[in-house]
Amino acid sequence: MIKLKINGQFKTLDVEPRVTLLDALRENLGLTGSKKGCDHGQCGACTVLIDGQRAYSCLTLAVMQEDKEITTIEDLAKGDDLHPVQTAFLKNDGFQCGYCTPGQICASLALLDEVKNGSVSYVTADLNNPPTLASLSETEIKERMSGNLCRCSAYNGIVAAVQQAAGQTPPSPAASIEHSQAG
Amino acid sequence: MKNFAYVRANSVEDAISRTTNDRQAMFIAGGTNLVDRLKVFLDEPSQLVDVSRLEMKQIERTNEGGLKIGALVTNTDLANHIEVRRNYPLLSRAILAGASQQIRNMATVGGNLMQRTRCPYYYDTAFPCNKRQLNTGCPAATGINRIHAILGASESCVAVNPSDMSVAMAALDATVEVQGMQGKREIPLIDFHRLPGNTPDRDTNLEPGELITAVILPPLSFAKSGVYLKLRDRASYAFALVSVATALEVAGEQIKNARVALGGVAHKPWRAMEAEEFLIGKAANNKSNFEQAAEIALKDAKTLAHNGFKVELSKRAIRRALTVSAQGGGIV
Amino acid sequence: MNQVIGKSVNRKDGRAKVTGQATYGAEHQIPNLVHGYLVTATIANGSIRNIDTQQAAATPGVIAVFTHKNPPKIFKPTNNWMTSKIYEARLPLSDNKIHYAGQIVGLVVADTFERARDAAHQIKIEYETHSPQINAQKANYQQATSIFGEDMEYLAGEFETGDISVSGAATVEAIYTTETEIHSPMEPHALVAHWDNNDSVTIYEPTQWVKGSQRTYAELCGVPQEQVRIVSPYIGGAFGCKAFPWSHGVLCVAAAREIKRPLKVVVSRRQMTANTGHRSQTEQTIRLAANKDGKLRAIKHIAKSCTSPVEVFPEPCTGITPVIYATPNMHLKQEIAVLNVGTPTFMRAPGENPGMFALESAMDELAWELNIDPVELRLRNETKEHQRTKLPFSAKHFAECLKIGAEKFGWSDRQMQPRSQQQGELLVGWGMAAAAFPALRNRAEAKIRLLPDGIAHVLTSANDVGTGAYTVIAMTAAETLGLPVENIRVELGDSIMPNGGMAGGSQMTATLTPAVLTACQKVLETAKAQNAKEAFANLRESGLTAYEATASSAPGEEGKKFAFNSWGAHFCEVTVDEEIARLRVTRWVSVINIGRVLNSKTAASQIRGGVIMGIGQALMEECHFDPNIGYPVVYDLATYHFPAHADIPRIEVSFVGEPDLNFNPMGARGCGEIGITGVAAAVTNAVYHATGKRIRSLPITPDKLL
Repeated sequence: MIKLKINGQFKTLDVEPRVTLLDALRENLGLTGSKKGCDHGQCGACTVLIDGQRAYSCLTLAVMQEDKEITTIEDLAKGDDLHPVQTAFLKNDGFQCGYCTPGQICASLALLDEVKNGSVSYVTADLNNPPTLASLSETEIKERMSGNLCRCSAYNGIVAAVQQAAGQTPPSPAASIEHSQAG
Repeated sequence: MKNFAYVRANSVEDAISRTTNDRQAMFIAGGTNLVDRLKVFLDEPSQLVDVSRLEMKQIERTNEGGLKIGALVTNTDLANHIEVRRNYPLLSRAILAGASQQIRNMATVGGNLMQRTRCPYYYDTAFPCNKRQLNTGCPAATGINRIHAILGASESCVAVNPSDMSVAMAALDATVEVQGMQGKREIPLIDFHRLPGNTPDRDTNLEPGELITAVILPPLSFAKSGVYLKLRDRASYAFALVSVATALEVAGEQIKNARVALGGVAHKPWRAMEAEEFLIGKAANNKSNFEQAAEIALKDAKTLAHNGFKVELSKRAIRRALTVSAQGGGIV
Repeated sequence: MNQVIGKSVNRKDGRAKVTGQATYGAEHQIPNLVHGYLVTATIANGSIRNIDTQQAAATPGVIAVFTHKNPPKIFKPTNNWMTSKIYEARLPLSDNKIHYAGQIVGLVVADTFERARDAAHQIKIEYETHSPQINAQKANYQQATSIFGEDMEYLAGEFETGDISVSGAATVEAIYTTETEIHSPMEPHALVAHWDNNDSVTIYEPTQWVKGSQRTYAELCGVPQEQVRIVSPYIGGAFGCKAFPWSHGVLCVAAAREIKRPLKVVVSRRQMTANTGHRSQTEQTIRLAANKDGKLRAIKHIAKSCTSPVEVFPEPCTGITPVIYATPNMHLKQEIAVLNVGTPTFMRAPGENPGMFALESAMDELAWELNIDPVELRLRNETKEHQRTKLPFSAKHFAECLKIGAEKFGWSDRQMQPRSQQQGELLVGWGMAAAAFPALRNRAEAKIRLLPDGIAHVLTSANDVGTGAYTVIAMTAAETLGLPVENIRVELGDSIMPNGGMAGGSQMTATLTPAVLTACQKVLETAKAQNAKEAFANLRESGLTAYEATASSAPGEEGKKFAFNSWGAHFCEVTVDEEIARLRVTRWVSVINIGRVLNSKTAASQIRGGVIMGIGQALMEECHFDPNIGYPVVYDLATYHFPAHADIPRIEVSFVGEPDLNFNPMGARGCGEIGITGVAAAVTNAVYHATGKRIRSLPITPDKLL
């Protein structure tokens, strides 16, 4: 038996040591918001927060996560009130099929915290001068989100959602329409 | 994935004794590579000894002015450490070039050194593979080998080491501190990984039961000029086709000291010492010196049916990285 | 019709998706569920001499092991499109023959996923191995057989000899190749089959065609259609690979019946590289001949693709060729060869995509040859009619797409000379290409139900694979009923609902929204009301529980008068760091004409998605098969690269927006596939402009730029 703290609640589970955190969430706890896209840490759909940091739940064993605070997509909205990152995804059309979306949202949430904490990325020109939320460029957002694939390719919308959640003003997600559509 | 026993080590000694007493036991820390391998039956341990909760998470200044990095420091923490960013920027950049934020948050320094090749023939038990089982053959050598080794390969194995971090550490003269039943010992990083020879099943010179406890970086004044350039098929979140770590010490216009290491080209991070020696005393503002250094670094390259391009790509990457290092370093 | 239609509206299914509440196929929580894991062949050609399941069967938790020696009962379906369709004509476990690596040879069922996977690994198979045919260059090509009755060879003008005998001021002849591509939806193939006794089954499976799937599974199980229910409210991406049952689905449903337990089967990513479809590699020869003024005299387009030994699927590259440019002389031909690889199938713009890579590359080459601006060259060759059917195009506006796109991109600043634009150390290139995709429409049915609480329900078996169907259906109902979108509830993806047709061939919007429109009008008639407000008042007064109306809509005679097609133009900028062979796509403008745009937000996303998948095809997507063993050496999402965030610039999308009322009452054509057409050519054309290097073999990986 193992005891996991998920979304603030302790859950006791009878699983073999070989069960991943992702499978424990989906198969044993009915928390299917975290998605199994590849099961090999190559797509990001299973991203959850472990002690506030983003992680692939498919690449860790449930038994290794005892005593850690695990947060999944199911815990972000409070009742009817969406988390601001969720609202930003909705408004900017940061998804299509929706399968990578919980992972993208958890990753975005963590990204904002990382930037607030002064973290650097591969594309940060000066490693001693990390970006702030206000100065966070599209290039930075894209590099930092690259561990979350989206085959529908809602990438523009996701970047815009992160921009909005960072307090920036993203471009409109809608297309321009040249003619009046009357007729 | 075979089932296994799971145990949390309560000390380094405890961890070592468990794996020494059970040769089928394996350590697990971040698990980002091992869990993946377990799923596809590349490893079938009897027990996993979880070392992730041990105290080896500090980055400390050494008496010599370098850094001692605990084996359980995460890739994220190491890349973002203020002294690493300031004094060993190529190490930060190399780590940040690898994997994704999620993986770097979980992956440890020790685990990064221990990650195994992503050769597709190794990764699928449908194929024979000498690395998985000696004397079964190497289908990569006669198969699709675009990503495979051009330096130091053998008839039995043409796989490459996938780590970015190790390439930067190779350039930085790092040392790996390991501990076994006989106590601690230090292995220079460039001797930590092995060439395949006829024992490709062994990636490293760790002895059974030994645990990586730290990586030590000596002070290297000119590491600030460091560059890590990674070339790949996708702009991010992809393994290197070729990567290069460089640093140059330049006085006036003359090169006093040089570091060149390559990734994605060999079974281990590849330190190009001969090229480094060539550069000493040469003019830093003459690109043809970098071209010659690149030629020297690749002079022993041997290619397969599909990876010939890596030779030219490596040369160009070396040229570019050295050019940027000569200007004081930065991003490419 | 523009209170709601054409506006930018958030997705109706958005809240469910951003909160993790949207439930996909394998996520339905069924009590007593057990897990199946597929066993797949590790050789590509031969047969099973012996299969030893003893050890696997004795593993803790194992419930059943199925192989060709004890297959579950599967009935042979008609597999004729009309009544049923499976992707692979050969039924799983039907004999001991192996036709490709990754072919399903067994299924292990256990109480947990981990135990099923472990036991599957313990099955020992001895093969009789034959050398596989893997090499497309050495394969034996024959004229392809058609899928939908179209001719696979077409000659017009002076082509008696089978070759182009006319000559013009300029000719371009070249061979273009594309690699095997894998759909790679984020949600893997997965399903749960839940039998009630032995005679009816509920199947939770992502499917682009709910009713087709229902009919097909009914035939496979030998039960009446009504006894099969397909539940598919959310689909995690499909792109053509989730339209019909694959062998794993057939096996799962049949096995679940035998073990009398609800059974889940999830295909691993490794298995998905081999046995759930791909786009075949192609080799295309194009010859263009043109007058000095750029007017095309002749187009020859010969396309080769490969199929598996167990199904015929030609990649119909030449289908779009007679649509785009006018020419008096034309020769089109499709050839096909059989390889020991898994079955190829429809993948986003099947045929049009590789076909337009070749044609639009050749047009660019011709433009350089003649020193005519490539936009101008296309304008000069526009055709008013489809050259095979001779029907005029309805609401075309291709020229407008070209002109608006050129304007938005700033195309007039382009130097007509390779290597002429630089940005620091980077070479900069601008490229463009046309986009085109047929407008398809079919019959569909929808039900509207008005309830006393002021909510209108729309019910149909159609589904939303991420296209925005939930939202445009709600918008259509809102517009017709005069209600806010918030007051519309849409329920999709269940075979108990009216037949909503298929999400394929970019036809869902054009097919379904007219049915929704008609059903809304009908329900207002039933309620004797002008609008929903009156209807709800009448409803409350009447004391009835609901007003309901079901209506269908289908194409009429318009297809005999017009050719329907969608059009567009892509403009892009690339930068090339030549020394280190680093190519980036840095800017993109697409102008598309799909008739009336129903939702300017989700339609833009559809186009962006297509463009980005096209950029993936241009830059990185390729699946290789080991030449000796035949197994794909691409085995997952780390080895099959498709674009990550970092590869993609902002994609600026515009629509012309002129409704095509000849096509359907909504004036709307689909937009799922047109976005990808022409993209790879726009990229290679830009690379040529940047570097002077003509890349005719995709993808443009760094090695090709050295």
